[in-house]
Order: sequence, then C-alpha cells, then structure tokens
Amino acid sequence: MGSNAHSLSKKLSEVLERVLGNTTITEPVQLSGGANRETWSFDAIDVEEQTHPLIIQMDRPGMERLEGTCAREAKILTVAKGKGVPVPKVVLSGHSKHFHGRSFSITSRIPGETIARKILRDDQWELARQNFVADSAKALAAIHSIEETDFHDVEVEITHDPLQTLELIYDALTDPHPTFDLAFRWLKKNRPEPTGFSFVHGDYRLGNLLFCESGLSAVLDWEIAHFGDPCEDLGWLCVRAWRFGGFGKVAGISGYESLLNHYGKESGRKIPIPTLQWWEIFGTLRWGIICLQMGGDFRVGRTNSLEIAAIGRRVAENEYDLLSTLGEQQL
Amino acid sequence: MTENDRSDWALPPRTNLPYDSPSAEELIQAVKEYLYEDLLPKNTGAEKWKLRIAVNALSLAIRELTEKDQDLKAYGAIMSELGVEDEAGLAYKIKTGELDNDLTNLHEKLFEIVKRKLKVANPSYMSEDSE
Repeated sequence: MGSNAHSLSKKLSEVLERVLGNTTITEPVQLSGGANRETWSFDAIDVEEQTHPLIIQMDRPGMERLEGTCAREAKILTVAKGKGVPVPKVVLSGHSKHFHGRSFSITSRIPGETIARKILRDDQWELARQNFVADSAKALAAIHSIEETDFHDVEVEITHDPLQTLELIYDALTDPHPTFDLAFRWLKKNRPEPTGFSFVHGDYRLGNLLFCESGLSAVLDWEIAHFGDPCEDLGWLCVRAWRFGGFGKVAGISGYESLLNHYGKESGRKIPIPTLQWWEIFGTLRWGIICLQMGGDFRVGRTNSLEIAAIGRRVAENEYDLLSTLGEQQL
Repeated sequence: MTENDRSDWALPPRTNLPYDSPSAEELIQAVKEYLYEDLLPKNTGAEKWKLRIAVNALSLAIRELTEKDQDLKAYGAIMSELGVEDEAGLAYKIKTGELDNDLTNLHEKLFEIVKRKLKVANPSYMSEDSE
C-alpha cells in the first residue's frame, strides 16, 4: 500500500527539521507516473514564512530489486548539476525509518509539465517542441561529459557490454519469448563500432523530462544512470514506446538526422544513422525485457500495483516493434 | 399491458452453463462501465490515471476471454509447424542457429503469434503504426 497524505505530512516535517528547521507542511498531493516509486508534491513553510516548493520520491515497497535508488540518485543529481545539466536541487536524501527504511530523496519542485501526451499535442508546448532536439542535444552532451572521477561517494555501474548484460537478465527470467531471441541474434550479428565511453542517463525520454513553455527545464529520473556508450541514450529516445503516439522517430517529435546533427555539434561525436538504429532496436528489446520483468514482479507477488501488472501486457508491443523493424533489415 | 400478459418475459438462453447469467465477460463489462461512467468523471490526477489503467485492464480481460480459444489453437499449430513443443523449444532453436536457413518463415510465424497477442493486449497499437 502507498503512503497516506496525512501521516506523510507529519513525517516530512520531522525529516526536514535538520535542513529547514521547524516547518509547516501543506497536504502532499500524489503525482501520477513512475511505476517504481511514489512521488508526492508539497510545500514546506519555514518559521520565516518562506515557502519551499518540494517533491519527495520514495522507492515503492516490495520492490527490493530497486532499493536504494532514490538516495543514490540524489548524489548523481548533485554531480550533474555541477556539469551544467538542468536538474532539480537536492534538499535531502537517504533512508529513513519514517518511510519504513525505504530510500527517499527530497528535491526542489520546478514548475512545468512532464506528461508526454500534453507536451506532444497541446498548443501551449509548441515552442518547447520546436526547441526539443536542440535542448536535448545540449543536455545529453553535458550528461555525456561527466567522468568517472566526478563521483566520490557513489558507485556508478560500468556497462561494457550492454547486450550481454541484457541477455543475462533475460535468461535469468526463464520465460522465453522467441522474438527476443531473434532480436538478440540480430543485434549480435550487426554490432556497430562504439561511439565513445561516457556517463549515460539510461532513461532519457519524455515523461522523465520537465518542460517550461520555452523548452527543457530539468532532466529527471536518474535511477539507472551508468557508464557506457553515449549512443545508448540517443537510441532509447527513439524507441516507439517513448514516441507516445507522436510521428517523429525521435520522441515523437523529430527525425533521426536532426538529432544526430545537433548532438554532433554539441558533443563532437559524429554518429551514423545505422548506429542510432542499432541502439533503437537494442532499446526496444530492453524495454520489452523490462516489461517482462515488471509483469514478473506482479506474477510472483512482489508487488500488487495495477500499473505494474498492466505493464506486463506491454511485452507484445515491443515484440511487434522488433519484428516490424527486423523485417526491414537483413535477417 | 394487462396484468396477465407476460408474452415478452422470455429470457434469452444462458451462454455460460453450468452457471447463471451474467457471465464472467458480462460482469467484467459491468464493472468497467461503473469505473468509466461513475468513478472516472469524479476523480482527478493520480486517481484518474489509475482508473484509466483499470478500465483498460478490464477491456483487455474481456478480449482475452473472447479470443483465447482460437489464439491458443493458432499458437499450437505454429509451434508444431516449426517442429517445437513450446516457446522454450523455439527460443533454443533460434539461439543455437538451427533455424538460420529458415529465418523468413520464422519471422512470419512469430509475427502471426505476436499480432494475435497484441490484438488482445492493445489493438490500437497496430492501427496507430505510422511507420
């Protein structure tokens, strides 16, 4: 079960005491989105009557596989901010008995919109859409400039062979989906040259990006950030699930060339289209296996979340996308 | 209508013997309409979002109950055409390269299974396919 708003206010006031002193907490409002964690929005009003608009994220109960991610993410946010990536400011993070020992992070609440379908369709976000590729190229180049030596007190995973890592996860689940095996086979046979080695956000897409009317204002959800090939982030942004019904290959907004040109200018990396497509196919397979794994969390009773249960049935969307795309390639 | 005229009281035959009416599909449909018509308009934000997921899940459940028999039959037929018992057997054959000379056929057969699954899980996904 999730937290209830009233008991949450009391707990928030207690944990915030050491950073903000005595505060009055307005009733927290639960935000939609985020299958792995709970997100609540609230204001903390301090003794000088100053209002602090804040967000708290907590790992969902029962999802032990993901434990510690909110606190770890807070440390990553601090490093990213130092490199000029637009991110929220971290106010407090860690584990607390107030939240059943689950890891949490409290950050500044930046006004704006994250809901993909609104960003893609509403007139209000027209300018943000126009600037999306340029803004993203800049943010991604900044993320990809973060080095291993920038991290001191947080371990960041290094993924040398993401395909092998993904196959280990798939094999461990022992729930065979032959389309996935066909995709692994194709990906192994058609590996492109690496485009570099860098910090990778790992989940850069609409839904995890906050927009103001003029464009991108914050990159959120760093829970699976790691070191690897920077093109992984670009390919992920092209996966059909993250187009949310929009027409452009890139986030439902633009074509491949525009992203590669802007990113090339910002980062100095020249990436050929087939390399981007390989990473898009890899991303589709990855999302398919994540759907399988999340459906599995429900199947074995690790969670009773309806959202997670529903994601289990999205495996077929990825199988369909993989077969459609592979049908156009040399099998 | 006079007191004794009961000519239009006859019920249609039950569709889910040995049980009584309404059937599982009809009950799910009734719950879905309750969520969609009564609860959804009264909710906002995260609750509304969850209700939408719930409504979609119930629509999916009805499609599954309707399509399952014929989809399972097609699935079984494809497995035997490919000379395997189940998906584990097929996955193994793909991994070991045994089907490398038959990839076009394999692709076609996998596509049929997947399209049937998707027609139940999210039928609009294929019609929205803009590629």
